[in-house]
Amino acid sequence: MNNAPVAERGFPKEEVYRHLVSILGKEWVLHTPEELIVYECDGLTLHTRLPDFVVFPTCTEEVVKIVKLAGQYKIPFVPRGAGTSLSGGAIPVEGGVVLEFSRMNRILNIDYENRLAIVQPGVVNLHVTQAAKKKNFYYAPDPSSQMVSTIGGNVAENAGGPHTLKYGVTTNHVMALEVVLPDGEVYELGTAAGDAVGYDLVGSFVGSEGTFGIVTQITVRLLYSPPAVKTMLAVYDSVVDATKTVSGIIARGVVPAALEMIDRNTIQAIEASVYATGIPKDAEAVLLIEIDGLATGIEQQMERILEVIKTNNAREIRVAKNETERKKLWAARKNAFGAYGRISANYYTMDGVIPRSKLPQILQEIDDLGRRHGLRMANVFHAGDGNLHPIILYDIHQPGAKENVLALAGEILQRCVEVGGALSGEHGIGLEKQEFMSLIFSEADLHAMQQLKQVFNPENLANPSKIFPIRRGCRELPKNILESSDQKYKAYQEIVRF
Amino acid sequence: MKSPTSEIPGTLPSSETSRFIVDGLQPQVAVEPKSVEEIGELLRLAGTQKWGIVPFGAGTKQRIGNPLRRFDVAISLANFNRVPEYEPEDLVVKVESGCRLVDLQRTLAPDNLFLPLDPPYYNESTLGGMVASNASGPWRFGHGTMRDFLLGISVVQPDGTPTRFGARVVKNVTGYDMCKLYVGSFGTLGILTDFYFKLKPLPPCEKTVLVVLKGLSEVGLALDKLFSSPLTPSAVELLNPAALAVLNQSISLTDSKEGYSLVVRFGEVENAVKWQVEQLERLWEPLCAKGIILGDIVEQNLLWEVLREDRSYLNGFQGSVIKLKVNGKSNQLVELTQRLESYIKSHAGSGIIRAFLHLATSPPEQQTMVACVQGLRSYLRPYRGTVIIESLPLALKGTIDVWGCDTKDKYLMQRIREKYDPLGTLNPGRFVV
Repeated sequence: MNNAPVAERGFPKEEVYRHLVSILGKEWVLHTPEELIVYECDGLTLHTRLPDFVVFPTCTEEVVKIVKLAGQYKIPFVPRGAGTSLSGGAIPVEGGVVLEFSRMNRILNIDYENRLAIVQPGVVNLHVTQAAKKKNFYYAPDPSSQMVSTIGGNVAENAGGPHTLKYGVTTNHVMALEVVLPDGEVYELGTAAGDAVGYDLVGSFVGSEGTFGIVTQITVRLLYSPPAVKTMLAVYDSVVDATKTVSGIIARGVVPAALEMIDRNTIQAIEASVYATGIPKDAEAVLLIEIDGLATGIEQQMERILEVIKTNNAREIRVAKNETERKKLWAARKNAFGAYGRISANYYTMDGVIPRSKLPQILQEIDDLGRRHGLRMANVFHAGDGNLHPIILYDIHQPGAKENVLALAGEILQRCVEVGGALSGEHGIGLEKQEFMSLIFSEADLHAMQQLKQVFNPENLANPSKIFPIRRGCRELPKNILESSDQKYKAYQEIVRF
Repeated sequence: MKSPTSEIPGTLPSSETSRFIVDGLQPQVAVEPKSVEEIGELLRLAGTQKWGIVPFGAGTKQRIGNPLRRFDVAISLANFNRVPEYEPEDLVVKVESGCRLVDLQRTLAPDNLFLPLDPPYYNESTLGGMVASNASGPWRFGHGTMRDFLLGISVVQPDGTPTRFGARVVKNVTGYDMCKLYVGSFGTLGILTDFYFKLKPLPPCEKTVLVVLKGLSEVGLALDKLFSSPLTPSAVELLNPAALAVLNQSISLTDSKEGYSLVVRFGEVENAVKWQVEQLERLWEPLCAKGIILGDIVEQNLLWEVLREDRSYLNGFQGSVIKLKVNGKSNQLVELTQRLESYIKSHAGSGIIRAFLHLATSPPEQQTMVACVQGLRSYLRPYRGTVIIESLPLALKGTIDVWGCDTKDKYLMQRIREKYDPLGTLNPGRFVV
């Protein structure tokens, strides 16, 4: 099986080190444990594993040399952007070489005539928008990590974000890629000139979580910035009313730019924290709704939405009058994760996706499941997409806490799949959920996916032991997944990641 | 080697096989399976017998492709014509591959929803054919293409195994994005049996603006102005003088015989549409010789039907026609239009030109035509642009590769083909690989 762990291969470390130094210079090859420890995990902090080397290439030619070297010695390699993956995408779970892309961070060209940008993989997501801003263009996918996460990482994980409801995810905005495959060959995939001929290799590559090879250049589509934005917040006494509003808005033919939901436990956490925004603490749910478009017409859209909100018994509605007020409304959503720290010692953030119409049913079920396990739950998520982020609050020092949380998380994922949903809306599978893949896919489905991997990565050197089940039949989340709220990793929590 | 016999379940009477002719070749047998299991059985049998198989929807795209290496069995998906799941609230629908696009749209319309894809042969096309051929039309500018709407897919693998990818959710990163692999795969990677699609709300108000520009350089200026403005049209099409004449024969909108025409469609809430039409008039006024605004929906639909379909353009020719799909960059449109003297219509925003070229009967002139296509390909190659010959008289098929794909990544496509269809059962010889 192509996905079987690459054996613990002995390789002449000294020799490989000398080769790497000859390619990049001593300064850009890390190899001592003290230097490597930063790279033993990403946003998931699961299965920490030290790489053997961390290298910092500056161009495609250097990437080729490094990959060829890895191929020659059969050493696994893993590309890494900002390391914000929440599913363990950048963890070098079998050691080997980590290619860090912070030195390939140039925006190579912004072509306004054809409305596209050509960037290196280490470019920070938000920097693309900042660079195109002066002519009113922007790059639409906006994962909440966009201030730090890189386009290369976004491509690997097919990153989403709050505004994907209207504008789509990363794959809808990537037109062409330059990639280095594990055989050391450089390929151009896709095109910015009309439709590509043949199989959609770009579409296949985006979201492959680094298991196909390394992206070294990306051509993305730019959009003209919508001139007008309206943001509103609605407070509810019942979750059902809030979810009815979500489906009511969609059914009315309005596609908001963002449609986010915050539940009671999250409201209480926010209001008890420094991020308090004055939402009534006894509210059951809050919807944050943003629409964008032309200044003319946006009022008409907003009226439609307000009608739906009122019909569904909202007890309070706030509409931002200016950018400051808009930021304040978003602050509640964006700071939710910082606020959980105040009400719980530890928390585990999940990611699942369900058909929107199942929201009322599933939210109730998640609540019931939590109660049965004696665990408190919170929920703040992309309601418009049906992309849930249930948060399990717990105290790791309680005996049996880990097992209990993991059992609950497994049951939640199972329910998501049973109602027609999937295991992940935007975080990816990586190491976190690989054992759950057989919940949703048959052996034949998984085999067909692995065949695609073999096309690009036949020797399984690119990011091995990810995505596909390894411990066959053992369907549970890996235990050390919960280490993520340890003090050691507090730094990661400063970044808003979903 | 055994020949396909009528023992295969779902075999149609031999009188029916003439409905499944591809490039002059008639299959030995045409089959209309009723279930995924029957398809699986047939594919397994085909594998052992080394048959060549062609999957069939409505057959409107079957003229595209290189000549078949062999053609033993046609698989019609006519029995896969249902809409088994539809949840308007989710804006998601499950459709079987033999279902016609118009039938799907009819199911969705009462809920004010639609699948915003408008390929040529709109009234005949099946969803399976559209996925397989990545069919698109003018709406691609504002709405996107098949890859943006396909959420889930069921595929009977060439070895007969049923598989399923994606789900009925609008956002999903559970494993590889396999849906993308099948869009535009021209039936070479498996038999597609059903799909989940993302839907959109029907626009509450629509208006169409048709302008005749003073010359080709004004076209470039007009498009630059439009694309660097906040306007959000759902379609932007360019017609050259010959194509404009065809349009005028079908529906007399202008008396202009000369000049290039841009046709722009807006679809949004009423005052947003009204404002955009006004803005467009202001932006383009200095460049236009003439402008018409259509508000009546029947009139608009008639116009867009002529633009979308090949029919009127093909009628304009006596004798043989070549149809090209030219993939260039958006800013190469003007130059490409200049190079192509024929009936052309183009998806102006996406750099795609659909050109209809008259084909002379004399062999030397036909060779000139082939050389012209090759010249265009060489010009576009540095930009990773391409020219696909979508329609070519039978006699010329085989003398020139209709896909014109010779880039390095073709090697990866070959590997994909070999992995999934190692025996080359499906559409042998027709696709890029």
